[in-house]
Amino acid sequence: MIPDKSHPVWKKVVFGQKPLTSSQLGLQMLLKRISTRITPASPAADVQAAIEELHNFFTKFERILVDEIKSLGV
Amino acid sequence: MKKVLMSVTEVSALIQSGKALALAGDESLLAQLPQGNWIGGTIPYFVGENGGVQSRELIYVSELEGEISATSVRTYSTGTISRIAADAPDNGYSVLIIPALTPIHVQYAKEARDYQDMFLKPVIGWIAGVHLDDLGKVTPKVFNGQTGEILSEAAVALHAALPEDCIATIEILNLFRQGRGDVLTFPETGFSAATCRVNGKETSFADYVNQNKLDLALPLVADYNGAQINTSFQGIEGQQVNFYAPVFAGMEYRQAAPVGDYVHEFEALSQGQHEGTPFACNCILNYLYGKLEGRKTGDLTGPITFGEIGYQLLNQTQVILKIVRQ
Repeated sequence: MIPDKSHPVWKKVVFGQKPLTSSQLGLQMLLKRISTRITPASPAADVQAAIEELHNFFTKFERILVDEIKSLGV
Repeated sequence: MKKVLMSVTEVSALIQSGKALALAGDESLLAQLPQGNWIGGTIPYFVGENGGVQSRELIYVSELEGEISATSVRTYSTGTISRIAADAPDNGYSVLIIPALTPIHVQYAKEARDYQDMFLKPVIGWIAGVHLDDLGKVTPKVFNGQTGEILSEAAVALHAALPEDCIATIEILNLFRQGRGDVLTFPETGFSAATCRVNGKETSFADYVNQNKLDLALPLVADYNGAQINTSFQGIEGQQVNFYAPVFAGMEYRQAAPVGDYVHEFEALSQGQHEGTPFACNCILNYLYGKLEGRKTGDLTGPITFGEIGYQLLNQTQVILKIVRQ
């Protein structure tokens, strides 16, 4: 089950405080782009946009992200 | 193995039967094809059913068959290329072909990762090129088969929709891994660099490359959460080091670790269950350094390109489209 986008785990992921391993190239590239743009000092709107994008990715590809969803640990 | 290299007559018949096709071949061949549901780009190098080959007589055919429920073909300019993923169907994929050494090539390479819906919708494809003997004499071209346009400054895409029970994903095969050498960062995003930071200390990058006798066949590699993403060296001009893809400002690079036997390692990497892959392509540097001409490596075929697209522009990488049915 994918946690709701308001769940704190997403903020940890976009801040790089919760490492996520994946073999899905799209997710690897998305996480890299987020990590180069978003820090805890980033504007709240930018952080929220990154969370939305990541959540959308998980929602769309839920069927092939079984291990990644487990590793969110929620 | 399925036949992928075909004559103009054979490809014309496929087009007339309504197939959705991504084609690669010499400009004079692609220009003879009838209008239809296809896109194409120029290149005379391929890995065909019998291995690596160069040909100005045959066209490489990626038949985007099977699961597709709908397709559309579009032309993109520098003003519209940012829509590439947004225009794609919600569930499907897009095959994109961009002519090399053009403003749209540079723009896509630098900015694609920030385009709307990029990564949510798989964009795969390649950079069209020319025979290496024709570099500087002939311009790479792309073809919009639906309109009959032959373009040297624009890109073409075939957007394919998939049924609900299918998902498209992109995989890469990369020989290279980050080595254990210096950490390199660059002050600006670009296809060339005069300076870089070596373990945090600013230096002339050309001097660094020369003094350390870097093997330019080994790309710079960045670690994208486990995915090893290459930026290949083109060469050094004075104090400028040129690349085949941009280095990104702030990204940490290391030069790739040496590979043992390039040919055998590539062969080992290419083995696998790739039958039914709708689209794959490989880099001309792998073709040259890996001596792929006349050799068969694994069961992957595809055009040999001046750059690969797996969402972003890639170098020295085999890119593969997979359709997962669940």
